This record gives sequence, structure tokens and C-alpha cells, in this order.
Amino acid sequence: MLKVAHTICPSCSVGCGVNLIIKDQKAVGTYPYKRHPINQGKNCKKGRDSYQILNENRLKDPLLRKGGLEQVNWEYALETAASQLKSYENREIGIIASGDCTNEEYETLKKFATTLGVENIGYNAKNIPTFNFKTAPLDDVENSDFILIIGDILKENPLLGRRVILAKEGGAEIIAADYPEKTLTGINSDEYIQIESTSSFLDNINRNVLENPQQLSTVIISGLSGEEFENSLKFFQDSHVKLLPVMEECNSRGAMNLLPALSEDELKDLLEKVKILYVVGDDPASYMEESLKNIEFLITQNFLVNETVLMSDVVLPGSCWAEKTGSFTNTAGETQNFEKIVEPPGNAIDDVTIIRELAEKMGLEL
Amino acid sequence: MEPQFLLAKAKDEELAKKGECGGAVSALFKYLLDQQLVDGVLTLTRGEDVYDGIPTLVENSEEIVETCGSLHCAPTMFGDLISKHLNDIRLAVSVKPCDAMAIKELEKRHQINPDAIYKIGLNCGGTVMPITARKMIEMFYDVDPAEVVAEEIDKGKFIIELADGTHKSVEIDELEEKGFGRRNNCQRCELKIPRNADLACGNWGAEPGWTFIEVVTEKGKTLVENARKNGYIDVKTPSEKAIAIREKIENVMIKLARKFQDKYLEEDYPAPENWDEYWNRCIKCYACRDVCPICFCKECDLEKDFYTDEDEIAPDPLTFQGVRLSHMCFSCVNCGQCEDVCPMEIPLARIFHRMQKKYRDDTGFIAGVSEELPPLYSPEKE
Amino acid sequence: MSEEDVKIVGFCCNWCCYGGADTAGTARMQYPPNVRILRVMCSGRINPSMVLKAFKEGADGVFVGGCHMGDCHYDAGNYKWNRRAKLVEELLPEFGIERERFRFEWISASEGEKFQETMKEFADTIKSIGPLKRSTPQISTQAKFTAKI
Repeated sequence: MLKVAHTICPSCSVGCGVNLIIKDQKAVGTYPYKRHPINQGKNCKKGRDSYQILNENRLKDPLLRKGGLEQVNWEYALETAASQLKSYENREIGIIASGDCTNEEYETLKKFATTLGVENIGYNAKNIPTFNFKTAPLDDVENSDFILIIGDILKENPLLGRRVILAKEGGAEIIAADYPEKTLTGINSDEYIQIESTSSFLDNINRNVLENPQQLSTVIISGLSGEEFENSLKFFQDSHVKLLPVMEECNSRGAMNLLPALSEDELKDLLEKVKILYVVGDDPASYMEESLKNIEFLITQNFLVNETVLMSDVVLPGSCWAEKTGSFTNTAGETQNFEKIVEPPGNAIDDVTIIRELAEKMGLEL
Repeated sequence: MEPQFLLAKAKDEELAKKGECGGAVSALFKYLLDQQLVDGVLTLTRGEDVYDGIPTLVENSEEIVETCGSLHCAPTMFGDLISKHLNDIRLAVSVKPCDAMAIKELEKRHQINPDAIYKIGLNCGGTVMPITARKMIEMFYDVDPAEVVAEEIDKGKFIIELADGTHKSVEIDELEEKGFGRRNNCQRCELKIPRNADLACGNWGAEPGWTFIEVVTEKGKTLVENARKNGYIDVKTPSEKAIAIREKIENVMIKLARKFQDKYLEEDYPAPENWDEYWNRCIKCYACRDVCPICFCKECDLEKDFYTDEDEIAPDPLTFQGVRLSHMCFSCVNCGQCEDVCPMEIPLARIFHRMQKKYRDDTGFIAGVSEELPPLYSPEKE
Repeated sequence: MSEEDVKIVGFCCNWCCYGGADTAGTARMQYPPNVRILRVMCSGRINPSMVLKAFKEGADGVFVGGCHMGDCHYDAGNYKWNRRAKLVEELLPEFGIERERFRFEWISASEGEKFQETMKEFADTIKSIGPLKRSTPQISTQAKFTAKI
């Protein structure tokens, strides 16, 4: 009747542990998960409210456009999606995922695309390009002697912010830089630098402070994207500092490891190239509805109703994170497994199964 | 009623073996479930390791045996879990003193029905945060924390047991001097024997293989008598000496707690400038309020427009913690949950405990122990 | 801000203390202009958070006036306030606000003189401690941009 179970918070890329309170098969709240090494039972408001996404705006049945969207059975929905996908050339097929799917879903999706020979695949990287270097573990942030923060970590990712606070209590020097006149991270730092652009800020940095071999120095980059992000990475990459970029979604880092990162421009290009689109988790209609107009057939797989779902020709109802077993990789590169706690609502099923069944219907062997 | 002292142990051999001190508490739970006197038992079960205690509702008496064993590294709170999610069933619950205190305050506020709950109290010398426990086992015991199969607090020592049966122990005093050991609020806690529950059970003064029980309420008395009559427990009377030993342990611990109160709430208490630094970090996430077992209001003043300022980077402490303090500090049971869950490491329990202590000195009201509501709620002309 | 400009918020109960202020007024008894009076129906209507809010909004002192014990128009309102006032006294120092900045008194409608005296005394007290200086995140200043690193 009542169950308290461990899971990983899906709200941001820090990867906190949180316990869900399940009553009569429904998530009714969260409970501190004090054994979890990342956050020790502390969660921000988003984390404590994360259970609510299990109960809101859920897709419960496969839908098919017949004038309007109508409920159909799985067989019919998958059959339709499969036959449509088969009727297009490989280069006319596009697949996009979001940063909050599980690693297992990315793997399956990647296999699906490879087997089918689809090259137009990627995930919405929220303009954070792929990088490839060893990032600072969270414990290093806490043990740092010097931390430079670009962005408002305390406000946006409080449980990473907590590590900065702990470092400060341990005597670390904290310098924060950001655009607004004042930020929460700023008022809690030894120095706050209001910047006009990251490039002018980087130009003015005295590298000697960063290169001090006696110190463990960490640079946290958050809230930057595109060129700014890339430039900052390049700037710090060849110094001795430990670097921790903060990504947007709970599994952006996992997606980056497995799928091509697509910026908004690249997503736009992809949408213009393809005629049939298979969307897993993402909501492209919310940020580029225009580009979607070229799409002849739209297949959407998601656990909730969003703008893209409403435009779709076939809708495949997937599962929310606590309804499936899988793993997320946090922004520091740590992969954490979580277990299925509740059943998905109605006829929704877990996402890996959906991709596999779609492949099977198309005669593909994954 | 006059308190009664007894020694008890489970008749069931498996419970007696697996349970702490002869498994009397487990046997009482089994009796309540078997006789359908309750619909469920709320207790802790061990999760991934000894540092992971998970609140579990047991509805089948066969499963009681799985809940056996002590978990000192699981600083949980049952009060609001019951008032929010388990108010529709008849319940038995194992309570640490702070759980019992929270439940008592919630009962007074009609958030928990006292007639529908059996509170089996467990004596408590304090709990340790799981991550702190793991760190200190690495540092002071030179043991990989993953290799610990059981832990125990006895005679001022934190004792660990390894898979090969060896035991290692370190004085809690030593651990706490270095900033490890029990949570700060536990160090300050004066209620070691939960006389605000129906029964207060523990090993102080008990013979090996027996649980020392102080019967506090009529309900507790009936429970023990019937469990004995129905063959669930064996009961005998403790010696005068055993009672004296238990009292002595309790007094030593209370004395120590008062020393820690002086240290944390007076001598080393943060100065106003330090508090300003703490308040500057606040992200107004309401974790402290939401976890507080005393804060049960559905509509909270803190979310009213006149206390909210959109331009604020951090909330003004006067109209955030100040308002929270003015609403409930006098009822604070020092469970430490607010401090435990604060993402910004603000030592909240200190200010709340300090205020309740002042209120207690002024009015005699002890949160979680006194029978009545705090005098602030009184309509009387006095 | 000079010492003379301190701001005092005075919560006065409709039936007694406000009447006292009125009596003082009609009798042309002068009291310091620093006091801004807020009329409430009963001192029992005041809760500690209203005092905290007043300080947050910039009051340098807060006064609450109610009926004498036994005279409450609503029977026990001033008893209730009395219990809360004790809590306010304990609470304010925790936030670095001197206890003297908060005062409560029982003044009847006929006690114009007592009202005048109390206000004078309280305003003098606040003037002698000076304006309330609080360091909240909004007020605290932080080192701003210098291209130090």
C-alpha cells in the first residue's frame, strides 16, 4: 500500500538521489534519500516536486491521426509507423531524442538508426556542443582550494552549489562571474565579476591564478551555450584546472556519449532535410514549429502531451523515468542506475520496448 | 499510570535470534498484525547496506522478521509520513524519541488519530548521517565502509561488525570531537527514553537476549499483557539493580546532552554576522518547511504575496525563517530534519532548538513531551 | 538618515490605545511625529510576523498598544497578544535586532497622557540607539567587477 523507493532525480544534470513515496501504486511525494553520496538527502524544490511529472498530462494510449488524433491499439499504431518509415528513403528519415531519455534508450535508438541506415539522428543538446575530456568529479569541487564559477550555480543547480558552499566553508576562495548585476552565487562568493561578454572576461583572466600547482582549482561553467561555451572550454582545457561544465538535462551527458549533439541550427537543418521524423522525448514544436511544417509524417514517442504530440500523425505513449529501469549519466560523467518503481499509466509501455517493437515491425533485427 | 518495568523476549525462535535484544519489539508487531489489531506496521528496513534505512509499511506478519536489526545511520522521520500518507489505517510504528515527539505534537493538532496508532518507542542515543558514517569508518576504523555488515552503539562506543565476525570500536567522544559521530541535534537531545510513546524499549539495563521495556501507557500495558497471554513474548521482572543501571545510563546521557546544548546553543552559537552569511545562501526552496513534521498547514503564510519579494536574490530572513520561527519554534522537537535536508547547509535546527529551549524556560512547555498544546495557543485569560 | 528621522510603527487597538492616542490628540498633547499609527481592532489581531514585516520594511521601532488586562473588548485578545509579544522579544535578537526596538504597552482610551509619555519615551529610546542597520542580501554590497584574474 505504501512504499518508499530510491530513484535518481530527473530534474537537472547533477544526478541527486531522491526517494519516491508510492501509495496505492501512485507517486504521492518524495522522501529524503540520505544515503545517496551526491546529495545526502538534500533536494531542491524541483527535485522534491519531481514526482508530480508522473501524474500530469500523461499519454495513456497510442494515438493515430484520422482527422483528429484518435486512440488506437499498439498493433495498429506500430504497424502504421513502421509502414510509413519503410516507405521513405533512409536519407529522408530523421530521428531526434531529448536529453532526458535513459542511456539504454539511446543505445537502442542508435542501434535502430544504424540497422536502418539512418544518418540524420541526434539529440537536442540545447546548444551545448560535444566535448571530450575528463570532467571534475563533484567531490573535487568540494575539496577545491579555488573555484571559478561562470553562471548562477547556487540558484540553478543548488546541489552542485552546495559543494561550492562546502568548499568555501573549508577555506576555498570562490570567484563568480555572470551577466546580471547581482546573483545568488555572486553574493556568496569572495568576489563577483559582472561580465559583458565571456570573451572579454576570458581575455582578462590572469592565468597564473589558475595554474597555481599548489592548489586544486576548479572551474564550473553553467548557463553558457554555443560559441561561448566552446570558447570557455577551449580556454580552460589546456590549463591545469579541473573543469566541470553543467549540462541542461538529467541525461544530456549520457546522450552526448551515444548520439550526435545537435544545436538548434543543426536541428533546423535536419528537419529541412528529412520528410519523416521520429521524435523520442523531445518537443521540437515548442522551439521550431515552422521547420516541422515540411515534415510529411511525424511519429512522436513521449510520456506526456506536448505541442509536438498534438501535431503528430502517430503517437507512441512511453514511460516516465520512475516507470522504467535504466540509467542516467550526470554532468560529472557518473552513471547511476535506477529501478522501475511504478507501472506506467493506461497502455503506456517502456520506451526501449517501443523502439524494439517498431524495429521488429519493420523487419529489422536489433 | 505508574511506569512499569519489565524484561521481554520473543517466543518465536527466529525473531528472538534475528531481532535486537531477544526480538521483543518484533514479536509485539507480529502479535498486532496476527490479531488484526492493526492494518500495518511502519518501521525501517535495511536497503542497499547498513547505512541505508528505508521506511517500510509491513502488512503481512511473516515479513516482520525482515525488519529486524538496528540502524543507527538512518536519520528518518515518521511523523509527517504518517499524518500525510497513513492516516487512513490502524497503525503500529517503531519510534525513536524524536518520532514520538513529532507524533505527539501532530496528535494534539488532530493530524494523527491517537486511537489508531500504537507507538512502540525505542531508546535512542542518537543517529549518524549515512555519508558521515561512511567517511568516519574509513578514517577512524581503517575499514572499507562497504565491508561493514552491522553496527551498534554501546557504552559510549560506535561499534562495527565485519563479515568475518570481527568487531572494531571507537569512542563516540573521540569521533564527535573531530566533527564526526552523531548528528548535532542528536548530541543535544535530552529525550533518550521515549516515555511519550506507549512503550519504551531498549537494551539499557537488560540481560543479554532480553529487551528492557518501560510500560508508559494503559494501551502499552494491555498490549504487553495480551502478547504474553497469546504466547508471543516471555516476560519477567528486572532486578532493582537493572533498573538502577538503566537510570544511570540515561542520566549520564542527559547530562552529556546538556553539555552539548551549552556548546552548540550558547558557547559556539553563530554570531548574528555568521547568521547573515547563512541566510545569504538561502534559495527559498522550502525544504525546511516541507520536511518539518510540525509544519502541517496546507496553506502556508510564507507563500503569501506580502512576504514574497520578486526582486530578492535571497529571501529576507526576517520574513522567511523569522515568520517560520514565529509560527512553530516553540513546538520544535529538535528532530534535525530541517538541517539535514537544507541544500545550502544552513544550521537551522540550532536556531529552532535554541528558541524552543528559551520558550521552555519561560513557560515550562516541552515540545513533544507536554500533554497540552503550547500556551501560545491558549484562549485563556492568563 | 539622521537620528531624528527614525521611523516607528505603532499598532494600536481600536477600543483602548487608539482611543488613548485620540484623547492625546484632542487635548493637544504633543508626541513625536516619528510614530506612524496603524489601527487594528484588537492587539490580539497582531501576530509576530506583522512585527517582523514592519522591521523588514524599514521600521526602526515597533510599538503595540492594547487594552489593560481585563478590559479587552473581545474578552481575551490582549492576553493572547501578551503571550505572543514575549516570543517576539526572544526572536528579534536572533536577527540582530535589539530588544529595545520593540515595545508593547496597555493604554486605555482615557489615558491620553500615558500614550503621550510612552511615545516620547519610546521615540527617545529609538533615537538613542539610532536607525536600524540590517545586512540583508539586498543591502549588502559585494566587490564588483575588477579584472583581477
